[in-house]
Formats: sequence, C-alpha cells, structure tokens
Amino acid sequence: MNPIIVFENVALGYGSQPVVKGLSLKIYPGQYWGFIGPNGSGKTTILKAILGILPPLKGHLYRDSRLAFGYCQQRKAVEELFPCTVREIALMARTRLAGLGRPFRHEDRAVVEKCLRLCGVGHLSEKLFSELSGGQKQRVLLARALATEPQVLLLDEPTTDLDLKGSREILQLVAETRKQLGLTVVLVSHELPKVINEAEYFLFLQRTGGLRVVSKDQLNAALLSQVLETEIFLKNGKNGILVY
Amino acid sequence: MFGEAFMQRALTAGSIIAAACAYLGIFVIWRRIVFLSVALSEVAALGVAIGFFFGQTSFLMAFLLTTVVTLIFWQLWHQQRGFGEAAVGFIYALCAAASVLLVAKNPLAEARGLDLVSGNILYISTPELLVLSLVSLAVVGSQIVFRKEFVAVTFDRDFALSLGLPAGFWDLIFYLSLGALIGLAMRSCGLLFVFASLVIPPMAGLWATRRIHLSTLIAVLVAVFCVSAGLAVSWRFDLPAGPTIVALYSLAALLAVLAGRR
Repeated sequence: MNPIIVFENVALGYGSQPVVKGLSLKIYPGQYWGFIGPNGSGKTTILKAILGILPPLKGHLYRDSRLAFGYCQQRKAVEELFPCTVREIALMARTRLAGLGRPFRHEDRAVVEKCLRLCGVGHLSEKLFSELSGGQKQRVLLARALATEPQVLLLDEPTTDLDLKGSREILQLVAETRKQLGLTVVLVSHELPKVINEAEYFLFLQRTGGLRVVSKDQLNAALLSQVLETEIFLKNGKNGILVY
Repeated sequence: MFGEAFMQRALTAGSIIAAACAYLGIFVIWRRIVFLSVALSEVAALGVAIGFFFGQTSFLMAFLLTTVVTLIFWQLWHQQRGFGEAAVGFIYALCAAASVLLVAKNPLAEARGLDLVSGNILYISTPELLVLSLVSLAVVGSQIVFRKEFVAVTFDRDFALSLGLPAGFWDLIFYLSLGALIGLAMRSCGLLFVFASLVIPPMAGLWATRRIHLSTLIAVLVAVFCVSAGLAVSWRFDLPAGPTIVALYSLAALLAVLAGRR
C-alpha cells in the first residue's frame, strides 16, 4: 500500500520564519494519527500543510491529488458573529461540490442532513450555531467536515474546553465514524491523556522544536517523559491506558 | 415632490446606492472591516477633491483612486501582513487632510457647492445615474450569484481553503466591489451617506433578526425606505438630504434593536 501523505524533511512556517523543521512522516490510508504537543508547537501548521493551505518553506510534501479532506476547525476559529444556523454551516462543506455560482442541490442537502444525524445534531439544524453548547458546536463542525465526503479527516483540538464526558463522546464519535466510513484520521491535541487510547501512531512536537514519531505499541512512560519533558506515568486500565 | 426630474434622479440614485451599500455592508460588518470602509470613503473623497482641483472628472478620479488603494490593501492583506489598524488610520487621516487642503485652495469647488461630507444627491446628473446603476447592478448581481462562495470565505476562511476555494480571489472581488461602489457613490452622495449606508442599515438588519438571509433583506429594505423618506423630509423641511437620511437610518436601527429584543 502506498502512503497518501508524505513529508520529507519539511520545514513549515509563516513568512520566512519556520515553526516546524525537519518533519519526515508517512501517512497510509486508514491510519489514525495523533499529533501531540504544547500550544504554539506547530500542530495546526502541519494540518494546514496537509490541506494545501500552507506550502512548505523547505523539503518535499506529497499529497495524493485524489484525496478529499474533511477539516474540523478549532471552535474558537469559527466566527460566532455570523447569524448562521447549524444547517447553513454544515452546507458550507458543499460549496465547491455544488458548483460555482450554483445553488445547493438536493443531493448536497441530503448529505448534510445525513452527517448532522450521524453526529447526533440532526434535531438542531434550525438552531443558531452561537446558541449551542461547546459539545454541540464541536459535533456540528465534525458534521461539516464529514459533509465533504472525505477520505481523510483532520481534527484540530476537538476536545479543548470540553468536559471529560463531552470529550469522550466526541472521540467515540470520531472512532465510530472512522470505522463506519473507513477514514484516515489525523487528530491534533495538546492533551495526551484524552487521545492516547484513540490514535495508533503519534507525532510528538516538543517545545524545543524536536519531533518524534512513535507507534502506539512503542509507547512507554520513559519515552513519553522524555518527549513531553515532564514525568509521565502510565497504567493499563480496564478501558485502556491511563496517563498521569 | 417626486414629480420633479431632479428628485426622481435623486430618489433612484439614492435607493440604488443605499441598497447596494447595505448589501455589501453586511459582509463589511462580518469581516470586521468597518474602519477600512471609512478609510476607503475618505480615499474616494480625496479622489473627488483631486478631480475638482485639476479640472478632471471627479466621478472617474474617485473611482480610480479608490480602486488603486483597494488593490494595495488587498495585496497587503493577501501577503498576510494584515491591514493593520494603524495603516488604515494613516490612510484615513492623510486622505482627509489632503482633501480639505485641496478644496480650501480651489475656488471652483466652493462655487459648485462641493460638499465632501454631506454630498449633494439632488445634483446628480443622468449620465452619473446611469453609470452608478450599472456598477451597482454588477456589484450586487455578482454578490448574489456567488453568495454561497462569499459567505463560505467570509465565515471561515481556512475551511473554505480546505475545500479548494480560491479565497484570495473572492476577497479581491469583494474588496474591488466595495472600492468601486464607494468610489462612484462619493461624488454625488458624500462621505456621510456612503459610510452610513454601509454600516447602519446592516446593523439594523442584524439587530432585528438572527437569520442570515432575512437580516440582509431587512438591511436593504431599511436603506431604500430611509432614502425615500429622507428625501421627502428634507424637501418638506428644507434640510440637507444626506444627513436627514442618516438620521432616519439611526432611528431605524434603534427600532431594530427594540424589535430584536422582543
């Protein structure tokens, strides 16, 4: 099987200032990746490079041109001044597919309704986005990402500001959707405990600029303590690994 | 009163400009570029003043200058340097000062009653009205046809880019539309009317309802109604048309706040 996304010694950044240096990574179809690092370490920058929004400053980035991406933004990046309903926001995913200057088709509306239902927010489609709770907003953004009918789902801090129950529900929804649709998933987070049981492969971004690629079966407390620069303890629990 | 030819032209021009500005104004507010639209209005005013000073067509001069400055702003923004509030403020102050100085040293401007702030919509000529109508139609028409693209790019630029939408291109079209409209409307309507039309009716629409399409419709209706009523009031009480219309805009906005709270 060929990789669908390949980074070869890539530097990424804004202007001429690199945020991420020396990134080499291969992502294969169906894999679940977790990009873990502190705020400002360049996690979102890598997602933008995968999406083609940000060209590399150096190195080579290959993306399979047939790929469709579903991008689930950070909630704080979404404009709340806009008086948009849940359905209107999810429909934005179909803007390009509907055709330039053409109204949304019946097919577009059907896909959007299906994705909203899949994410458990079908009953909120007439509600204003700004009136929803944090967890509901996250589900709407996930539905919007799925409405592009992607092969690759990119999630940027989907559990930030959510309580433990809300976080678990979102991650469970992602896992179920991935299984159901056979998606490749890249999840960005600064909260290792929340995603350690979800991803199969991890890219750790260190505050110092260091990068480390690790598969789930290689994870151990000593390695995590080293890459996260703080003492980490792992314990195998009934529902997976506990981090503290 | 609307039997007079000049009043008919004023009503038609005022309604068209106000409706087009109100439509674009919704996006101006969403994009948080209200200050930029003030600065562009001032650039257009400088264009009018330059036109008068050098004896050129002020209508065309305002349009050209505003378009050039709009392109510069877009280029700066597109290179991710950001407009920068300070840069916009600098352009505003520079153009305001330069236009006042040019008008002060130009007896012709005074003789022709040039008022950059209030404008004089009652003096609009038929050729000016024709050009304004065509440009407004092109601007609003393109905004309506490509509304879903403009909404997607305005609401969430990164998501739009992730879909493969050329966000920079749509931004350019939006800013050029804004610049063209402001540039052409300035000569006849004045800074106050143009800027107020871009901000107050859209605010009324957004205060009155929390629905995206309905708020746009309300903004346009408020703008057209206030222009008609404002011209009638200014005729009846011998008041300057531009400020009268703006006063009515403000009243409509207050009513919208009350309606929105119910």
